[in-house]
Amino acid sequence: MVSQLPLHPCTGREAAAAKAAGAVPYAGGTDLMVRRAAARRTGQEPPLVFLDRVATFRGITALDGALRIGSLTTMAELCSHPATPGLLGAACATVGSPALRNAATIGGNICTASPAGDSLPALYALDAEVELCGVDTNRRLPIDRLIIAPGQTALKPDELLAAIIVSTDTADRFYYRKVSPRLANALAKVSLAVAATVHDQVLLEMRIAFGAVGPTVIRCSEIERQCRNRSLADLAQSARRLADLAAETIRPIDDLRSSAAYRRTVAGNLLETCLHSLCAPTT
Amino acid sequence: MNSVFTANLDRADTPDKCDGGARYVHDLQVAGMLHAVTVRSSVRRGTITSITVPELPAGYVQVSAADVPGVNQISYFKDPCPFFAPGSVQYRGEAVLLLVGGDPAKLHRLARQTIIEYDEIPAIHTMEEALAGDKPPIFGSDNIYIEERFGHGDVDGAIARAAEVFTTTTETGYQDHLYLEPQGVLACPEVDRMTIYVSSQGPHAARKVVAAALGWDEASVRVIQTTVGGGFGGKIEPPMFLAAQSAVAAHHCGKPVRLIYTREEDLLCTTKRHPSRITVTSALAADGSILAVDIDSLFQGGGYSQSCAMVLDTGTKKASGVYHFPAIRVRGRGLASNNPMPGAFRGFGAPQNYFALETHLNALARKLGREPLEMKRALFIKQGDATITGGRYHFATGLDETISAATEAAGYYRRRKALPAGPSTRRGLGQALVKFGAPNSVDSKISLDSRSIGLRKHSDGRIEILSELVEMGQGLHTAFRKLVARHLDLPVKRVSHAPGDTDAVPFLSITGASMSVVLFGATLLEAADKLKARLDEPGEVTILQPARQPDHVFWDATALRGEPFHSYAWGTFIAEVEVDMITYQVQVVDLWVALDVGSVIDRRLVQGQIEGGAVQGLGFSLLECMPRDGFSCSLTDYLIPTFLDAPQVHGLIVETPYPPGPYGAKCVGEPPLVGVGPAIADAVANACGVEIYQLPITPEYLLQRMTKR
Repeated sequence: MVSQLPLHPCTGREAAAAKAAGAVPYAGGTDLMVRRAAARRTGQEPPLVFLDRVATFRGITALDGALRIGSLTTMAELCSHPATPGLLGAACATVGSPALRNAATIGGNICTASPAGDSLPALYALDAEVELCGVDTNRRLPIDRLIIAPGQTALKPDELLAAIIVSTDTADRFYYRKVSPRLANALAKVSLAVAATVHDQVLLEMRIAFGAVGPTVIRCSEIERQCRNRSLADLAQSARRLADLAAETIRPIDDLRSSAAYRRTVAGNLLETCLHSLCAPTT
Repeated sequence: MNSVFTANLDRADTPDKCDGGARYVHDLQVAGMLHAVTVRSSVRRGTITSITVPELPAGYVQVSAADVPGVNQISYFKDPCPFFAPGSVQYRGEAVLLLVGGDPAKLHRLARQTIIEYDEIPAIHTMEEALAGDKPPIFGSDNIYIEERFGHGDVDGAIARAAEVFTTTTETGYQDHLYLEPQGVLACPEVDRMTIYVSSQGPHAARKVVAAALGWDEASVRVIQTTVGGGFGGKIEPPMFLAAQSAVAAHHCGKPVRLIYTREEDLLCTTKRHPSRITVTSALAADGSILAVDIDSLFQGGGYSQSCAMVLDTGTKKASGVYHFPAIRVRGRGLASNNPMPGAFRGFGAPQNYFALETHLNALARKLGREPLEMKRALFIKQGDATITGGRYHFATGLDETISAATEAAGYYRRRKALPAGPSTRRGLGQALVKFGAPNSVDSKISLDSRSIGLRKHSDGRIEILSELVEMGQGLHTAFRKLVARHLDLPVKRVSHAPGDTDAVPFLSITGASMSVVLFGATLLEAADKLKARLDEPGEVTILQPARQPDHVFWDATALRGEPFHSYAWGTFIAEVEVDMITYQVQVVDLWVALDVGSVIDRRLVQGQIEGGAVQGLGFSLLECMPRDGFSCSLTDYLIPTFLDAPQVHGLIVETPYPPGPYGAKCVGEPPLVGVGPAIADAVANACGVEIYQLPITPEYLLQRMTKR
């Protein structure tokens, strides 16, 4: 029974057990507050398990060549932490508004598994991995294996997201832009996160991830392959063609917030702008 | 700077609103109070075949149309407008019954378990469907709640002999008021009496509605105005529904009943701005000059007429803009549909019509290669010209001065053609001209004697303003206090204005339509004149002064002839926009709003109205969007501007005194909103080279326009 389990646990194992018993885990609560408003009004909310005391889910720690970001880390902490990869910091800075970023956690943003989740394209472009904590076992997964469909993750009933692992020594250039109907407190219609490694005017590697234009974040592996090991000058020449290819790769829909046609056009425009800015001579 | 009022005054309501001391309906708790939750229609249109309420615990009751002792009808409107569904429903969200009891969570649970079954009737979703006539009509035989025509001259003849005929059609959508405080009422039954605490824009109107619902005389109902957390017209009609429903429930239970809407409910079923589709046709001579204009204005009403007739009427009378055309015909129609029910909203039919006319003229100027302000100038209304209803513009117009003020401040003529484009951005300047008539004239055959405003000198020398007019953030009570203090030559601190209480203050009017200062401010000064002679009398002195229309106003409401409005504010709006060509998003960088508001009573309050109205207009123009036959019930999807979206608003005040107004004042509540849409649309058209015929100008719409080219 849920009622016998700690709803304010101190260890990942306790928290995982409470979740397995039917409690809903939360940390910042910013999304939960909206989605469960009706249930709260009728007094029919399931028990909640508050994760804030789980020490192993906290903090930003340097590992060898990587960074471990506890799932309870807030968007505001990520924005201001010196070790946060620039791409991830830029993405997290577009979440909601200052008050919301003070409460919202990266773990929540991931587990909500919305295609419009602001941190997700950045995490995909950084090839992030996630560390999952169960009652008996821990495991690691690449981020794109965790998120299966809108609102759906590969978390088992007893599993919680403990941390995110991002490599610190890969990309040296990045691009991020979120297109939303207003500047603050609005969901993305399209977003693009790109991480690139450039050496001696040659693009060695590039990872491209679009948000809000498919059931999950969409990586563009074919475009990434075509970009690899090409000179920046050459790439700038092909920017429009590659952008058109991106528009074909994504799978946008018409919904209340935007149209497929708009998302397709703007996604292409964003990639073209991104390629031009990456290829522009730096001073 | 004609005004005698030089210093700004801090509003008396500000400290309480800032420190949390203000008491809203939601803050009121009385002993034994019950809560009410509304069970609503889940279909757009149908006959109710069965209602199954789960077994209710002791102390819980349901209240529906069958429990109404008086009339199940908002008596304020002439056409049917029930406050409980009368066996059939006309829109999704229509109230069918209330569940009343002690525990809100339990009530919400019971409401969810209540099952209503319907025989559905094909719903009318759009104005096209309303006019097509292939579904059973909602209202009369043709779905037309109201139709009005105004104009003069031979429009058909001019079109027949025109060198060219130019036509545009513009569309606008729903806009929600989004006041901070959702709707709420507390009804307290007493022996043979009912006291209503309500956040509304008209306590006496609410009293009339509640009395009719209970089948009582009006004196048996007392309505006490609570602090209003924003109105914008949205606290005119909806509180009448809540007040009648909760009064019936309180009467039924013999206990106080409080009904407070959640934000979701408020978005779903309270009034909004009427969506519109307006076609403007102009007949042009060979040199491009306008011979005649024909305006066909359609407003989308909801499942009941409610205030559709009033909004359509006022909007249609304003449709000719700041122009005296050689010939004009304006036809306005308000149509029934099974969609959310629109109603009063700041601007009251004017924003839709000004967007239509100014967009038409701006597009025409672009097509002819003319400078739009110069093209328009040839047609400006001058003092002494006739209105489209056969009345006169009796007083000086400040339009030219507002044009000078706005164009100079914006550097309009110098910068218009020379705005720099960025690598992926384009800039544009746009303009729009408006006039705003206020108040609406009432039939001259009707005496206003039953409406009054008053002053009471207390024995300690305090002066109390006796009026039901509502302070809803606009600063009205501050303006009134300043007027009275100045007129009596007393310190303003001695003058107070309490929230309305129908037991304590006389029937006057709903607070709206930008009429309070210009009309009732003058009445208030007449009361002050009478009191001035008696200021030295010992004890309490009370003066009640009946309202009256000024001498220059004659209106025949049957023939629709005469002065449609008492006075006119004039305005020039200039918007500067930057359009992002990667995302098709429009950012308004600067907005110049020059308004002739007559003599100013408080400069800071006028600036506040200009800034707030301009940003609300910006939301209407760029962001605020609901599917026209659908619903947004969440602030996740219904977006209004935040401070980050607000441009620099430059309020420029022109003071052309209106002699019958108090110290020459006119109005300022609504005018700052009404010209924002067409000015932004013109700026976007200038930046992007495509005409804009729709509000809001979403990036999706702009992309579509730019791709079609």
